[in-house]
Amino acid sequence: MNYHRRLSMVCCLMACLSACSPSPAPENNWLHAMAYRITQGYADLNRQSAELATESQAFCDSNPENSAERLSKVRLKWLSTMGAWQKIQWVQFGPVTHNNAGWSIQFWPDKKNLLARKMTQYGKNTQEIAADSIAGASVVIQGISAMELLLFDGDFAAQNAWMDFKKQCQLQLAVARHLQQTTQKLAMAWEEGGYAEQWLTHNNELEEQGQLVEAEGEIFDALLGQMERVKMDKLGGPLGYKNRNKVANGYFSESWRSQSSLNNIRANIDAFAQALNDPDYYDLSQKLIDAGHTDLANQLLELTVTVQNSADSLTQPLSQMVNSEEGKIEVDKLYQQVGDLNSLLKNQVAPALGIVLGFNSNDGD
Amino acid sequence: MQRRHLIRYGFYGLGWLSLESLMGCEQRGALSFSGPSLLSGCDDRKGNHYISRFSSAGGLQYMVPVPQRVHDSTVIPRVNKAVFVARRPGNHTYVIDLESGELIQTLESQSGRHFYGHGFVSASQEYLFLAENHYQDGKGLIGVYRVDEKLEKVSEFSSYGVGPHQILLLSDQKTAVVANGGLHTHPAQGRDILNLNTMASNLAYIDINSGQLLESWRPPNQKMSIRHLSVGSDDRVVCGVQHQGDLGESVPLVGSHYRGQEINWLRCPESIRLQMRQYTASVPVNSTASHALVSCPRGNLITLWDLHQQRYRHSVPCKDAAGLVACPQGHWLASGGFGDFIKLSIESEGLVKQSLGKFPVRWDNHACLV
Repeated sequence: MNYHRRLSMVCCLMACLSACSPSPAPENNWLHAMAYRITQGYADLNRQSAELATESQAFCDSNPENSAERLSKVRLKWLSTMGAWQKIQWVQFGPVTHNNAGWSIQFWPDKKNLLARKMTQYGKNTQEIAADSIAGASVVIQGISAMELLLFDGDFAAQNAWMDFKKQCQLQLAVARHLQQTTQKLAMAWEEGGYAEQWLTHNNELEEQGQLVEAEGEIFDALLGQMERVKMDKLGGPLGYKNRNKVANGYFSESWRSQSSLNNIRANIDAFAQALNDPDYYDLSQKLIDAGHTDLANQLLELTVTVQNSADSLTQPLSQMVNSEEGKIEVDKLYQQVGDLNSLLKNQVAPALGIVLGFNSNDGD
Repeated sequence: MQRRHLIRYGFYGLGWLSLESLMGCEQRGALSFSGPSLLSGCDDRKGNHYISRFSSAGGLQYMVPVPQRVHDSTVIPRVNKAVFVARRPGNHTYVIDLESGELIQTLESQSGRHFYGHGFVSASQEYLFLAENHYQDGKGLIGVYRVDEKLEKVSEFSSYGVGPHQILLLSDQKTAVVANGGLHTHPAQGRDILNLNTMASNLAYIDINSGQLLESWRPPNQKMSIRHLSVGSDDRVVCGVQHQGDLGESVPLVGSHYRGQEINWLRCPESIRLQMRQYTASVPVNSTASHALVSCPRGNLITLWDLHQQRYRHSVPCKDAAGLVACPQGHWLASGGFGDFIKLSIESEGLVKQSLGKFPVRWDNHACLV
């Protein structure tokens, strides 16, 4: 790629990012389009988590008589923050890997309910919880999972007498503010910190030197990794497929406390579908078509729609569905379909595009 | 020499030009590192498999195409050969001339067996020991091969576990230490793990003359898979774990062991453990047996561990880096899946990395010092 084209791409990207409004990505450049989408995703997460902190403050400032109403507002904002996170959760490279930012946003899977144990220890043994004190605590209690425990787990509140309104508020505000700070750092790293620009420039340089390009592999690896997580952890976990006894367990679903695990899965699938078939920008299906694999692109699109439809058809909370035979059959159907999608990605799409996946990290021994 | 079997990057004196065209002029200067050479498997961008040697001057001495992806290699100086072992479920072991890279023999595993990618040579260099899977019954084996004109299997004994992975010899030259990873796989099902919920890994010590088990140690969590090893000059065995449980689960990933004692699991801060993503690759101990490096390709990290203080000490980011070797001078060399070739040293500030260049290949899991 010549210098002028690269320069114009970087300028265009930076213009898109700084304007914070959708703008056409350059033609035939999936990386550029994905960099834009990722930056947008982190900006949205940052916005949602800032509003969550504001709602938490309003809840804590409220009078006892209207605290229930305030609490439901915080819960709603938590759900939209979780939704924003689920859309960008697949990005397992770049700033989110620095200083365990990803873990700090969400600690999951948590089969042994470490969250409740650590929160009990911390809440019980800390007299006054200052807004910035949670930064020094374990990542287990720093993020959105911790907020879910505080907002939705009635049993936890009932079992912990130390958690009065004041203590709950201190914890809630500390966690919400820490979450806001973490997501703000990520949004800034992609947008103003220039990570997107560096990422694209580095990739172009490698390409020009005839080296193995990394970025496409990182994106593909991350998208595939997320869909593997959907299958193995988010569906296979509650179905009991990861247990020795194979017994289904609703507590292994991702957001059992708020009964929003299926929303998470739908957001994950939608994020993948957007990378595949973006109405506004160059996408993976177009990349496949441009590489002469139209049939494969259609097959992938079709399978993705099937997976989306199956996820949409599940109407009960996941943690409850796995407790009935009928429910398990429906969830297992989605599990199998996501598996088919992942096999197609791994065995046909990546080779067709010549995408370099992480070699040792993805397929070591 | 079968020239058609060699891709002549850096070979027959023609290679510098080829190498420069592959690597770019800037990198060539950066590769003028004086040191020993390395053996490693690698893939090109199309996914073709090779076995290769880097020259001590930093050049790629040879790349020999092979049908199966190899994992680790070992040198047999007595016959001036090197052996590269296919990773599971591969059934090839390749013998090459160490200097020319000529492929001398493709050894196939016995029917019903496959290799696990690791092996070692006896002190006399007359026998090669390879980790194998008897996949019908899922029992781990150590195959014994006579090193002659051709490798020939003469015997085998139990690994006393499932899925033997890295195997090494202690300084008494008669005790093998075996990382039985505990994972049962069958070639008919590729690399799928068939016994995840019942797996049982162990660290076993076996008398290679009698095939008798001397002692065996289990990790504290059922889903911890002990996979990689190194042996210090004091016979301390360092082991690296790949945990098959959840990513956030708190399990130790690096252990240190002396025979007759419990495994000492090294301390590590939560922040680093989470970054390691439950996965370790190479674990070489340095020449003074004071420290080990542990590569974590899933976490894109190389970590430094203080063996005297029994704890994690420092780390540096290294993308997809897995291959690591300890050099006699006290430093380490690392190779990565995006072609990186790196020198790592302990300085006052901790672990310091220096890029020695970037090759247009994907270096595979392990490297071997010639």
